[in-house]
Amino acid sequence: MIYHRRNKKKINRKIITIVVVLLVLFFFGSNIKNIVQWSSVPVINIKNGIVYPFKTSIEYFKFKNVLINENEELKNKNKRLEIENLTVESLKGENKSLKEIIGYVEEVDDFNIVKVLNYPPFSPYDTFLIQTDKEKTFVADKVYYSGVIIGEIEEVYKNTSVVRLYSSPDKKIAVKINEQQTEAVGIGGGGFIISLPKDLDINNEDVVFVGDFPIGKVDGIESDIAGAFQNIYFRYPFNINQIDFVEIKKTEQ
Amino acid sequence: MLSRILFGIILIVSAFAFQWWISFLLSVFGLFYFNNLYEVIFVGVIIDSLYGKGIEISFLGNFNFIFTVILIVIFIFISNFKKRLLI
Repeated sequence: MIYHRRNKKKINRKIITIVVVLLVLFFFGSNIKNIVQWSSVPVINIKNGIVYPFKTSIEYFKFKNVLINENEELKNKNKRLEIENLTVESLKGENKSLKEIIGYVEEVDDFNIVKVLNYPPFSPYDTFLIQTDKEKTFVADKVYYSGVIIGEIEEVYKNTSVVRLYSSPDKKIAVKINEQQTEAVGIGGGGFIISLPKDLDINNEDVVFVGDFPIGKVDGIESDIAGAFQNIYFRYPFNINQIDFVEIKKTEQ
Repeated sequence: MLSRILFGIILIVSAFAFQWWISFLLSVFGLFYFNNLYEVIFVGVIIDSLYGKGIEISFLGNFNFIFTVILIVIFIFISNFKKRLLI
């Protein structure tokens, strides 16, 4: 009898504790978030300091054959890029002369380079934790990496911000592929899916744009024999798990 | 006692520094191994504060601590499960 009463008391204490925790989270959630974000910077910086040497030394353990193949592949890629670069240079010149003819005044973008503290897979749901200044960063600022738009600032804290990538599961974004405006849905892991009519000619390696900025390359097309639509899969042209720095562009207020 | 304190520290640091599922697995292991491991609630709060996305609950507004709630449910479930297991 006494045992039962003591047990009941224990359960009640547990329930009261949990209810109190939930109430505190509900009413003081944003303050708690601020404290956690503030205290996360030193811990994550220490972790990155410890992990970084291992990240680079893992290359030593690669097989010789793998390295030879990779080297060959990179040489070929380099040759192709050199040829492509020649075209880019001539296009740049042409673009500049055309702008001069029509008297176009170029806008100078205000980019801010910031350090990434945590990236997937350390952070879940395709989010980045970046080190920022509260005065210089705002919610909905666009985030870029190597000229590719990757996401938006979702939350701003005193010295950190949370970036949600467009590839975050179920996030929708308006894109352009082969001059066709459509909607892409994030599927996580830096990937997206687009559903388009089958009769549209889309190929692997086609570039997908958000406004004027590229966002990714098509890496898979899946079409159902009976259906009228095809599923197009594309992903960012780099590995999102290896991004150390990103650029933030202020949104026009 | 010392092992509990050490485990608590590892758990909290893992929430900041490791992948979320590592903290999750450590939490589940800890709940089985120790009694009333309230530290798992902190794990949930840290992960939700760092990366969590709020959901709109019709009459309550925006709630940001979904992972914390999941861990609390697991906490209750494992506590009850352990009690039954001992009897």
